Amino acid sequence: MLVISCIKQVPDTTQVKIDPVTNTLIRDGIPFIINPYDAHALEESLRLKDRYGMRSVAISMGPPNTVATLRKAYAIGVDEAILLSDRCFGGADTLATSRVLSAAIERLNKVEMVGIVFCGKQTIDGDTAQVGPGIASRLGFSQLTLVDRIESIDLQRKTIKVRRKLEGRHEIVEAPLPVMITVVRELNRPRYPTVPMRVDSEEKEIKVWDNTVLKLDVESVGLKGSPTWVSKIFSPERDQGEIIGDGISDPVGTANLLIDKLLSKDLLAV
Amino acid sequence: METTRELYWNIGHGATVLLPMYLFTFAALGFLIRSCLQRLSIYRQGKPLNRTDQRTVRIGELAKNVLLQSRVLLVNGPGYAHGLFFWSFVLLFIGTCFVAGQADFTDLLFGYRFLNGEFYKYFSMVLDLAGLVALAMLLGLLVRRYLVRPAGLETTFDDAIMHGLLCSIIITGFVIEGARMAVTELPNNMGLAFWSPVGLLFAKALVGTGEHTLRALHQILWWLHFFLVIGFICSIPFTKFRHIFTTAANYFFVDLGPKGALVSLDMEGDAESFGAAQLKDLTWKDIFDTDACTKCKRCQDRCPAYHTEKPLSPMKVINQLGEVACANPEASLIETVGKDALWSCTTCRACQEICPASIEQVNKIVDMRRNLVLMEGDFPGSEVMTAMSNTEVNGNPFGMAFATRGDWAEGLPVTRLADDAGVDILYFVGCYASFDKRNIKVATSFIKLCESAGIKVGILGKEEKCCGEPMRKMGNEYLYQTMAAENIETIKSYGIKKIVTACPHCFNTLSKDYRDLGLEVETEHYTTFLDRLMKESRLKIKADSFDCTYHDSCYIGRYNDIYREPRALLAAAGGTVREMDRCESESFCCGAGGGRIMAEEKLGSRISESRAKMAAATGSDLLVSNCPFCLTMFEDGIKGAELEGTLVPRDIAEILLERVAT
Ligand SMILES: Cc1cc2nc3c(=O)[nH]c(=O)nc-3n(C[C@H](O)[C@H](O)[C@H](O)COP(=O)(O)OP(=O)(O)OC[C@H]3O[C@@H](n4cnc5c(N)ncnc54)[C@H](O)[C@@H]3O)c2cc1C
Ligand code: SF4
Ligand code: SF4
Repeated sequence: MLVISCIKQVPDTTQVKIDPVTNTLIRDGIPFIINPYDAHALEESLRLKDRYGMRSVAISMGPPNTVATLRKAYAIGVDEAILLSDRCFGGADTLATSRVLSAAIERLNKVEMVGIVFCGKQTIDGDTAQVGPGIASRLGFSQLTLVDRIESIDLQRKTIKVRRKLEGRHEIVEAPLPVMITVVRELNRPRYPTVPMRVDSEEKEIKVWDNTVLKLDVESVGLKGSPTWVSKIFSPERDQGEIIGDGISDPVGTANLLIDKLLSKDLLAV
Repeated sequence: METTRELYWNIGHGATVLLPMYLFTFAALGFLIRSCLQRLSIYRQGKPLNRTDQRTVRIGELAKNVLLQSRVLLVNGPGYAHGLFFWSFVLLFIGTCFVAGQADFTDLLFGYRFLNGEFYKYFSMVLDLAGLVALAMLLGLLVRRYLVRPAGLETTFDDAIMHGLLCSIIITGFVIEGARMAVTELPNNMGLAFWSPVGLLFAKALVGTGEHTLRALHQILWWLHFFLVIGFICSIPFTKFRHIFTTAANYFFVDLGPKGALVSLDMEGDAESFGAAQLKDLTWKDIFDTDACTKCKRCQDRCPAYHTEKPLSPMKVINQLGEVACANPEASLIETVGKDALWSCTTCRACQEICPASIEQVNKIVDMRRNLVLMEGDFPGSEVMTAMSNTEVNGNPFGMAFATRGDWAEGLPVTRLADDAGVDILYFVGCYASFDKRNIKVATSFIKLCESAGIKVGILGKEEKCCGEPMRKMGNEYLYQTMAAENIETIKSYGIKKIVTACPHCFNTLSKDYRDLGLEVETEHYTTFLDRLMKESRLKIKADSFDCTYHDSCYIGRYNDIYREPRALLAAAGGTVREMDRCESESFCCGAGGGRIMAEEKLGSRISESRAKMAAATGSDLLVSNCPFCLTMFEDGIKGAELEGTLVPRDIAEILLERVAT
């Protein structure tokens, strides 16, 4: 049985700034990282590999430089890493992205049954949280979002029980396999690559599947297949707030002032 | 009457005495040598390491530390007791050789005697006093161990055997002498008896006993004394007595430096395992070290981790490794020592600096950490793993955008080497001074001091990466070497001739560790650099008197022996330093070394708070240091110890800048 993790290479957005003139993201000097939620997805796929002997596959759609991120997936122990890359995939919105990812998953499913597809809860650049659910509906998989714990998997009955982390509560749900699961950070702590694994990962082959492999209708992928596009990015203007008290000379008094203020605006309940 | 004594008096000098005597002696020596050789196989379990180069230097170390007891005397009290005991014992040993040499060799074969006349008198006096001093020191140590019982001193059966043997050898020696004198010198050679004052006391005590009894007593005790010595020889390999040989040899095998540089791992080669998981991953010297330990606990007494109730004692680590080496060579070193102990070390070097046996504790701890990190991906906490991942992506543990590394210097008189590499010095800034608000102030002060001295300073800006020191000491040799390789390539590409750092960790790494990886540029810490500029009258400081206490950072103090220059700078600024009890080479770590700056201090109490309290105890309200890590730790430690308002931490550079003469 396969456990697939969908990983996206994103700019380290804690540092992304918006160019005020062109209203585009300044990517100069910003390193790429694996989308942080996807690191948890990847980690969980490796834990299932260890626990249930599943085969762990990482897939990513992106430009050719995405191999760097897939190499890191090898360094922590995936069995196979596949890059979905083709000029015609470029400029995809969430719909077109989920089409390409679904096609790749279907293709893998033909050789070996896919049991679980892990996605991150959302990316830190696009932030739509739509790709995972998009894949699930396209493939007809059960859809379990915001999962913070895998309770159990019954391989005989082909079911999975997970815990979902919701606002102020948890929910335990069970679903038949195959499933698409989106994960939150509380799920696990991603491992750190060991040196022997890093060394091995240098030798590993990263398969590239382009559209000659996936054979999707070029009108349905990339920019052409995307009904949505980003027309403008900008930082919202914000008026400078009111400065109250002096936190350095009177921290306690200032904290009290702040509490009063929040109470008066009904932002805090006693 | 001849001024001498009859050697072998009352014992006889025939075959019935000499034969058993020498037979037992040689048998004991043979046994000693055989047992020592057998121990070689224990050391051979380790990996090779060359510690027999530069023999003259090594022999010098050996002579200095054995004959002068230099390292032992680093500690007063018991150190001096050991030293005096050692010298006395050596004199007694030489004396015994003289006696045997004349009686059984020169006199027997050539009829030549030298133990007579004036020489005999002094010989007699010296040996008598040596015996007395040895006994007094031994009793002092005995009282310390068994009655005073200093905290942490481990007393085992070994100690009972050792004290017992040595005391009884010396006491029987005196009684034998007393008995002989009571029969021979007391009645008719009092003039000579005065040259053996202690023997005389014993002789007087025996006055009144019949000659027959005295002779019997003498004979019995003589043989007892002899067999005690044989017992002593035979016990050497099996008790801490073996330190007589192992510790002495360890002075010869000492690490000749550069002080505190770790061995670089070959990350490119085809090694299958990194770091120390099992005994076979250590070097023979690491194993030999464990045999040289005398359990004196000096290291433990100075260990900041031990002091703050963490599960680490460098002495225990060494002893645990020793037990593995002797009894269980397959055991996991990491399980034996314990991860919490390993992660607690701040690599402050206090243990190594004081160890009378020249044992190297730090590299062993780092070697075990290396195994945890490189082979298991294990860290003391997720915050450390995050710092490592951040460093991989952005070249700093905070995860700040690498492109913003030089932003702090905006508007200051510095050039970026990418724009202009014609500078007097490259200021290697380091992560804290680049990104941490408090430390940016220090960096800024340094730049302004250089400006006032007419020094043209360059920085690498976004091309600079973390020096890799905290990662390396945490065990992440891979990440360290990645960072180092990038920095070295950048620095070399600009043809830099001189580097100055304001961070002791960067300084130690660039000046020593990077050598292994190909960087040969002269590197200095700002304290020595500014001190020289001041002496050359290029940097002019106006004294404006103030009171402070000064914290010797581990990596400027113990790792680089820079104690004078920072104090000279403070003095020039008008500072009166009230020294803490633990200062200079005995300084107490701030808690940040060994990569601990990246880790939360979850076990025991806070090291930084302990140090802040020590600083406050001097009565000074200003705690000056020379290291961004120390400054960061003290900012927290002072708050934690509730000393805010009582004590302010500052860096030397900030104090100097306020007093620059324009
Ligand atoms: C600033 C910005 C704003 C955008 N706004 C929109 C928008 O409003 N609507 C829209 O349709 N598109 C938008 N896009 C494009 C969108 O980012 C891409 O379509 C992207 O490929 C998928 O969306 P996401 O990043 O939001 O992913 P999310 O849906 O947030 O991602 C969820 C999970 O899906 C998986 N996943 C996502 N992308 C990939 C991939 N390429 N390879 C493998 N796994 C993947 C990961 O596991 C990820 O954690 C935007 C892009 C940017 C940079
Ligand atoms: S390691 Fe050195 S300092 Fe520590 S107990 Fe042993 S001999 Fe003493
Ligand atoms: S280096 Fe410092 S912290 Fe580490 S064991 Fe030695 S004394 Fe303790």
